[in-house]
Amino acid sequence: MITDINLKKRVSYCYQCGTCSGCCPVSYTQEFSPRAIIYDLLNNPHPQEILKKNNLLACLTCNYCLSRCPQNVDFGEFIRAARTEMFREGFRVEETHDCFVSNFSNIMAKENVIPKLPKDYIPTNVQLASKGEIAYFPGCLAVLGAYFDDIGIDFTQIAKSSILILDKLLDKPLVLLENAKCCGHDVLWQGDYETFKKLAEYNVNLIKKAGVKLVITSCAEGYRTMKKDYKELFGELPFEVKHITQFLAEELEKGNLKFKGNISKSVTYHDPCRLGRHMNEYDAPRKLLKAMEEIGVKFHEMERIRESALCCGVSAFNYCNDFTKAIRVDRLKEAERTADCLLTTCSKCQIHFNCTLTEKKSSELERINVEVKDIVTIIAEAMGLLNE
Amino acid sequence: MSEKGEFVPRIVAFLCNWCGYAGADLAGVSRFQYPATIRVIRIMCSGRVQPSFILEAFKDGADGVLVCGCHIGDCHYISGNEYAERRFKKTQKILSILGIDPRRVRLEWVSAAEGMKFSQVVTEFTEQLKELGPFEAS
Ligand code: SF4
Ligand code: SF4
Ligand code: FES
Repeated sequence: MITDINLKKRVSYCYQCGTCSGCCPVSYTQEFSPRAIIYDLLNNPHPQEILKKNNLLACLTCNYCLSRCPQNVDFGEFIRAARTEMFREGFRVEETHDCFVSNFSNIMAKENVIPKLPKDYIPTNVQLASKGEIAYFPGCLAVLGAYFDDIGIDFTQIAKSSILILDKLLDKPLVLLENAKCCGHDVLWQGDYETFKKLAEYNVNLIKKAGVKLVITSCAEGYRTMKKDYKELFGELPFEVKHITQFLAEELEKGNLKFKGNISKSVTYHDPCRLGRHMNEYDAPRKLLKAMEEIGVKFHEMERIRESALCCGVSAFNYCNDFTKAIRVDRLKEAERTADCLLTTCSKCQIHFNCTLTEKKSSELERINVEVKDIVTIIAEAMGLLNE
Repeated sequence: MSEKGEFVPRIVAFLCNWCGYAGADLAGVSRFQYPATIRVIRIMCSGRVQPSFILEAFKDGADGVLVCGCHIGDCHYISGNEYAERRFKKTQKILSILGIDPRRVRLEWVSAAEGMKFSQVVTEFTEQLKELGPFEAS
């Protein structure tokens, strides 16, 4: 039974100004109005019917509307709660890749399944520990890497770069959580709270057992999920969670981060929803990119940045279609106008962007000339770690 | 589990309509014996089998997954089985990252005339899975 009171409470402050529907990126490409959904829900005695009737799938949970809403209505969070309620009634999101992500997450959540980060994700020349204060959390990176092996992203580089950078900066060996499971982000936003809980419990135990006090992720979703959703589930956690760009920005301020060589590349930065609007971290990656200007990196901003950054157009592998592809093309063209290389901190953004870039084009005119990369790879390069 | 408490593996078998399925059919009409461990899902071409299908089978309690298609060069849709082969390798890689023994999945080319081969494949694969034990408990 849907706990309608709970759901209604989340949106009850809405005064129907329509700002959300006006700024929502989805409403640009198809008929979709968060305001109208809220109106229906608050005025109808049968919320189930409203939820079934309305398009719970289309929302990207990008929080654009939250950043503009005068009443601070968290529509994305409401969608998540609604999907969770509906999941129990058999509702499923429209997942692409034949439900690959929910399937592997479900298998990972099984007690007897213990994943292991393959060797090619680990640099050979660093000393790693199994216990210690600071750890790197790779999450499901390798599984994504094995599946999306044909869209031109080198996932091994993301893990390797992160490990090399952290190893360089720490005086004690870095802990590599090589048996970590997926953080559970995608199943959580698909509404599968039970699977999310299993994954979360496993990861928290793993981290506790390793005696880790600070977990560093290179993925925006992992950061949000552990920092916010694990905390919501377990209360205070015995460890701190940071995104790698945050950790590095701090080191930069302390004067520990040194860039060398010469990288003459023009780059721009895409704020992933999960790091930006969800966690309010806009500055750390920018500080790093500004500092790299010293060694020749040319950092240019796109038109829509920070709170107003356009989402990559898919979250939790839900609802990938022509409507949301239009959003990706829009963003990629914006990046193309700005720089040669689009940097981001979320592996899923990279998957969705690169998928759009590498898919078969009907004509040369449709080609978008921009490279998409993870910010850690360029940082590692700027620190002179990749060619050593 | 059988009555004697012996482990009987549960195998999900994806058989392509034109070869694998026809081969299984021939095994049936020719009365070739093989263990009753497979649950057959007929697909039009082995090229349809995405990694996700195999994962879903494991998710729902299979101990092993068998995929049968036409021999290379014989696919009814020309190159579907080449896709199948690529995807299958990908799936094995994913399984080993997840810590699942890649020997729990098997890809075989079985033509419509190879009823005998089909029964052998199922028998061998069943033996293999017996050795590996149940998936949930492994
Ligand atoms: S912006 Fe906020 S107050 Fe305005 S219609 Fe949307 S949810 Fe309601
Ligand atoms: S969270 Fe994003 S996609 Fe969803 S309604 Fe708000 S602006 Fe639109
Ligand atoms: S039709 Fe049999 S493998 Fe393609």
